[in-house]
Amino acid sequence: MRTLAADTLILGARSVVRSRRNPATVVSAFIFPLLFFALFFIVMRRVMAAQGFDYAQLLPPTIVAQAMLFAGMSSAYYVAADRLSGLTARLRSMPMHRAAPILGRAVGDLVRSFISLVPISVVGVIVGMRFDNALGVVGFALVALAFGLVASLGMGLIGYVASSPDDAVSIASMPYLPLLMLSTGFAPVKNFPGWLQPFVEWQPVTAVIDLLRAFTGEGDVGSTLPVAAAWLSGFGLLFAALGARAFKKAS
Amino acid sequence: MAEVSGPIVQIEEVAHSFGSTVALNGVSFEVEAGEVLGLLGPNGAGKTTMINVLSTLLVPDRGRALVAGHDVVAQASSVRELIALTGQFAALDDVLTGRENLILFGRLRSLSKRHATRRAEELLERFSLVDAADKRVGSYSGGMRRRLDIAASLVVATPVLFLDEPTTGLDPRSRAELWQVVRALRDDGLTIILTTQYLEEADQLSERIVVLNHGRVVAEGSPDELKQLAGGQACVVMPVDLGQLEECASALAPFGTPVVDRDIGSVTVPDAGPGALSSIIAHLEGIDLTDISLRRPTLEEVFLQITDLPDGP
Repeated sequence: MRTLAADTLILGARSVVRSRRNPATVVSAFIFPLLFFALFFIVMRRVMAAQGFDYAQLLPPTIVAQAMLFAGMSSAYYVAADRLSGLTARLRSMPMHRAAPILGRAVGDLVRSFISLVPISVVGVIVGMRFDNALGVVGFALVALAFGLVASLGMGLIGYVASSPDDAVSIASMPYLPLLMLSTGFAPVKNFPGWLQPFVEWQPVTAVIDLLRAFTGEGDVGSTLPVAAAWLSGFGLLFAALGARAFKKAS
Repeated sequence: MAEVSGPIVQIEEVAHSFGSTVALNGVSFEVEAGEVLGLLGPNGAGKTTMINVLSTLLVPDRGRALVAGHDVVAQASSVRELIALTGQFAALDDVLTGRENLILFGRLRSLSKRHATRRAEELLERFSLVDAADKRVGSYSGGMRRRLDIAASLVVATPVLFLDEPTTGLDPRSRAELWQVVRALRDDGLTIILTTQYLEEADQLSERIVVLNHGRVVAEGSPDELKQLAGGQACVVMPVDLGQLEECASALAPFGTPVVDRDIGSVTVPDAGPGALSSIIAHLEGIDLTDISLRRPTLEEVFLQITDLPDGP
């Protein structure tokens, strides 16, 4: 366990240094979510208001979820790049914990997730989002980052099987849109076709968005937290285990 | 590291296939501690597959391989403590500097931050990379990358080092520099297994050579023994008049068994022996020649000759 924690942090630090030297990564992590935020807010705010929804309160959690999934996609790219450059082979020949590479990747991506999270939250508050209390702020941030971590682990798995980094991103973009659109992020469950409603209601992105909203006073933390926590910890463990397995067999 | 007596690497009947392609077909050999072993063979001979098995990257279909008595499959994590791998492609982080790469691998080998930093400094000096230490590896030349790649395998002293085609793609000058590096490591007492396609390289660097072809060991021995096996210098004679080929052949009979090639119009004495040229010329008096030459067998001829042996060595 000591080497798992140590190796994860060492590899996490490495990916942070890499991102820092690639200003485009940092800028896109900062700008893209804000762009989505602004566009959706301008286009949809009045439509939502006409239906009795306060969009300033509902939209930011959706944009956060979108940004975390988006940040995770870069993990698919970098895992594939390390594999193809031979770096993964070198790491595999070294005495280190097999789960460290994928966890290191995901931990490093937390910085990127944080860079996305701050502007969304700040602009959200500026246009009228309100947190319940200080605990709500902390809960909101922690759940967002935990979701970013799990998204990065899951997307990173794709990097172990894709034939190139670009290929990895293409594959990673496939689950991204359905997971985001078929959630409560953009429309309530009852607006979906009946056969889709169970999926929309229970899928992990919905659970995360509902919990984020609960921290802003839109819903009940007590009922949303167990579902989101189960999804996040379940998928987190599953992806980490699969990531360790994929690393063992990577070629 | 305790003194190891006897072979430090033992390979017994290792076989592996990728789909229907047989990469290794029952390979066995041993490497003594402190020895430099050259694994020689053409592309596709199974060299890299063998290195991947030894460095725990690939589980073979059959057979077993031991490093210092540890099985590379069953005791992979013990083996990883004892080995370092420099693969065919420089496995480095291009965005990090040379120094950062070395510190990264040192830290992953459980060195403290301070220790890893000091070790990086030593290696940068040893491999003449001090000037480039704080530049990104992406800007390095092929030779510098290779040197850093090997340095990254030395951040902690493992007794066994695998070098997979360390000079492929390098210009002659970088190749010569890299040979120096390998010789210095040999002098440090490391056990090294290096793969190469070049007979000359195996000859220059290794004490013993194992020749692989189509996944089998087709020859094994010291560089000198292998050269004997491949024959010495060949003498090639080309008469102006192709009608005189037979005449040339009988004139050359005292020097070996002449081989006549009518398509090319040449007579070759495969193993003419040193100093034969002047007497050969004397024997050919009265025959006009377009060309006469002595040459060493090419790697191709060595392989052809070795693989043509009916039952292998």
